[in-house]
Amino acid sequence: MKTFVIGELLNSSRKAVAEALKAKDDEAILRTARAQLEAGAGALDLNAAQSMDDEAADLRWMVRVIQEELGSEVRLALDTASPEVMEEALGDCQALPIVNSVSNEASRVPLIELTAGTEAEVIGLPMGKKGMPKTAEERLDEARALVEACENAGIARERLLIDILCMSAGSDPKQGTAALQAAHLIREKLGVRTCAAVSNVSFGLPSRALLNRTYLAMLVAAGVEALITDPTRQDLMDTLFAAEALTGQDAYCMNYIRRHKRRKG
Amino acid sequence: MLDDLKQAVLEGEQEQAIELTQKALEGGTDASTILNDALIAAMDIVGAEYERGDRYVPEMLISAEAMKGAMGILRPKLTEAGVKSRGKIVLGTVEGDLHDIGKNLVTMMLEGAGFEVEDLGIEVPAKQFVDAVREHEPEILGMSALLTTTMVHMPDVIKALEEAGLRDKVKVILGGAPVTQEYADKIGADGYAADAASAVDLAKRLVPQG
Repeated sequence: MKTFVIGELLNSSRKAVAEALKAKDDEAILRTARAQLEAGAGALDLNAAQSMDDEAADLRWMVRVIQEELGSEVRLALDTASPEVMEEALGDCQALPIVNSVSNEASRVPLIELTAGTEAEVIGLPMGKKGMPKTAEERLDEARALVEACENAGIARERLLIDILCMSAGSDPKQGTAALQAAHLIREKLGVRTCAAVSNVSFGLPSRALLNRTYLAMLVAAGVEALITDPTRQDLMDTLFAAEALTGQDAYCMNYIRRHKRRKG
Repeated sequence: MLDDLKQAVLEGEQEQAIELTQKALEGGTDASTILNDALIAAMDIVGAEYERGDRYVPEMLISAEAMKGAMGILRPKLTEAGVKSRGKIVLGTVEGDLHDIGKNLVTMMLEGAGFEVEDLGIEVPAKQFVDAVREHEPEILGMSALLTTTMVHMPDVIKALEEAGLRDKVKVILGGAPVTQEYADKIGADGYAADAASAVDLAKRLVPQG
């Protein structure tokens, strides 16, 4: 599989995770972590924001539990908007961490400075310079400003993954195409990798899984390098392998064929 | 006629809704009857269907657009007749937060229920909320935040209202992905709603029909 998948399930906005954090239920956390890694996640997104005042402690606890039980090589994406929390948790990561996320929003700018002093890869939200972009061009403009701010701070653009901001097609039907076009523009004009959180696109619409996997195929075709999604959903991962095979991102379609044979055997 | 208008709003047929509103007015039906028995009645159904999962966001949007079209010709008549709205609501997304999709849906559904909504937009600082409460004297102030880092501005706004001596003049309600009922209780808000349809129910509960 060529696309880098960041498993989204260990997020405290999900009730099961919030409860596991509260109860310090390490088995629950590990089960979800393991399931995502086995399904092909290249990194695990960790979010403890709902713990409020205990966010730093809970995030660090998750990092520790996962590294101790599943190995120091597991890559983690630290999902917090708080510079203090990020700084504490970054220090605990043994494998190359991913900072999720920086932007040009006033509250997130300190995260740029903070990340500059580390080796971490960085997810960048192209927003905040002028607001929330709606079109592909506005996304590109915001991305350009963010890449510039990151480079000025000492984060090389090779470390960046720009989020193309997938938004609800149900609220604004133009958003689906705008994000896809932005992926092309950002790669061509800025030479930066892109990433996408798939499931936003289906908000407010029926049969969300169908929309998510259809859009996932389009994202792969648009060359998006990293996806933040639920790898334990077999339909999504099947679509990912199929889309890579169909767009020349899977040499001789071998990954696709192997997956098929494994399923059969 | 009013049934047809109600149906047009339910189906999101804006042109038809405008035309039927015009006809109803010409036929002598008074503006507030058209508003209550056709437009708001339709949006009530829209909200209930959404809550049940029988209606999806785009279907809600087109109905609201149809109502908006009808209101364009109805509003001057309502003003003329001195008809007051269901209540006034000031709302916005808090400081540092650029998210507006949820807030816009809430605005739309509140207007659909007959409330007058003053939407302050995104990244609204505490002071602007306070100034708007002073200026518009709303029954309800609504705040939205989509991030845990911006949600923390909600208590700042409540505090600013207290300092301005306005807290007991207005009900404060909250919404947004990271917000919970527990959080609303903790910071002393008057209510929390998980989505646009329940925001309408909450507003109706807080502002009983006079």
